[in-house]
Amino acid sequence: MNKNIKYDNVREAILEKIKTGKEKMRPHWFFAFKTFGLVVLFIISFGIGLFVFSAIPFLITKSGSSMFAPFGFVGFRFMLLSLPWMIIILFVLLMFLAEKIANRFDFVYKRPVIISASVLLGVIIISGLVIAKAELHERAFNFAERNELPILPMFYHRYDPQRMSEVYLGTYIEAEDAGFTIVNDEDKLLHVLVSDDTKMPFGMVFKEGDSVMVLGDIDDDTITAFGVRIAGDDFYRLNRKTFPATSSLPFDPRGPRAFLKVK
Amino acid sequence: MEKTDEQIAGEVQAGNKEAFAFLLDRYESKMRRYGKRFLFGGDDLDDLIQDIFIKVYTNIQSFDTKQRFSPWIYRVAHNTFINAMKKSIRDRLVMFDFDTVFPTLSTDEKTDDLAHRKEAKEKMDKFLDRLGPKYKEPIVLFFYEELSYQEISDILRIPVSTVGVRINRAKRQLEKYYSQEYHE
Repeated sequence: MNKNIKYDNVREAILEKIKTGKEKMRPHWFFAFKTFGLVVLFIISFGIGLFVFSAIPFLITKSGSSMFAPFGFVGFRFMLLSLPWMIIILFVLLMFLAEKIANRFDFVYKRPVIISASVLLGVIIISGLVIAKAELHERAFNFAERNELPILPMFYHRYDPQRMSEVYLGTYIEAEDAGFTIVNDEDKLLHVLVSDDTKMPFGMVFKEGDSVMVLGDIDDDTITAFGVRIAGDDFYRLNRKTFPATSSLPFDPRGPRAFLKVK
Repeated sequence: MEKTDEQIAGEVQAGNKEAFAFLLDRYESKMRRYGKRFLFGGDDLDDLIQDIFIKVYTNIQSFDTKQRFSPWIYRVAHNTFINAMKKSIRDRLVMFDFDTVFPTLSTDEKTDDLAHRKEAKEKMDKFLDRLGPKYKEPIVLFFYEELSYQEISDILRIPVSTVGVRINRAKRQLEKYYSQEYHE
């Protein structure tokens, strides 16, 4: 009996709240707008995810991550440190968000997560590789640099190799008794000391104007090198501002050696 | 002819507040039964029932009258109960479920016909509370609320195959408890 009275009270309380207008029905447009918002949020997270994913190969080239591998174990440490981790983490988070949003729709949640996640990732990877192949990021980077746009250069410069201590870039000037000299992007001459312990995966056959990457400890203007290699043309091209040979002259896409020949 | 739930919901959407009482009459005891079986006691069921129906009313414009009303209201109830359980420290809910990740093979729901359901229910009653929420809820929805795998999939937002897997695992678990208790 008491139970029934309690049930009736709940029923009456609900109906009373509705009748008196204390609880109001949300309009239809509210839900339409909510669905629209979810779709927009999905498109944004998918779009940013695509942009970020397609930037990874570009940033790996620009940061020089791929150039550390020939240095062996030491190089592996630098490679790990130089990878654009924040971008990779951001990409994973965006994909997680996109999957969560998509999972609100029945055509997604009715299928196992592995299928929806694979489709999402597959589309991102294929589109990302197409974008990377089309060198969109290189163009965007050049455009942003030329027009001094905010934000975009910040995104691209975040993983510049110079941010890492023990990594020095410069243009080869000449050989010295115990090594060689390079000039960095601040037009500062740096002496590089080379010993038997210095790893030189591609030998030490540098010519004037070659872009060089040095791994080592710096003391004033002298670097005790534990790794030296020539920097690739792609790397040079993407970091040309850091090479003094081009700092006051037009950019030569063929690389520093080609530039010096013209000169 | 008696109006369907969907027709009544349509009337409420059109502004007939009084029609909501019919939905309340049809579903209050169902929601109470679902809550009693799914929740682990201690939660104030009356408040939760009120919450469910208020949410149903405020969100009724999001209901598509071409779909079945029953899974929709159970979805509202599921969310309300889950939120109540999250507030409770003792019931830690798993946010990520590996069962939903891979495609799985499960027995068809037809093998669990009504006769089986009735027989199974009697065995289950005693041990239901020993199951975790992940397994308890599909069991309650299937055996007690007599919903289909498809409907449970919509309520819990998990693949239909996962519903089958959970129900089978839960049944095996319950059978284990049963045989332990009665030394079969």
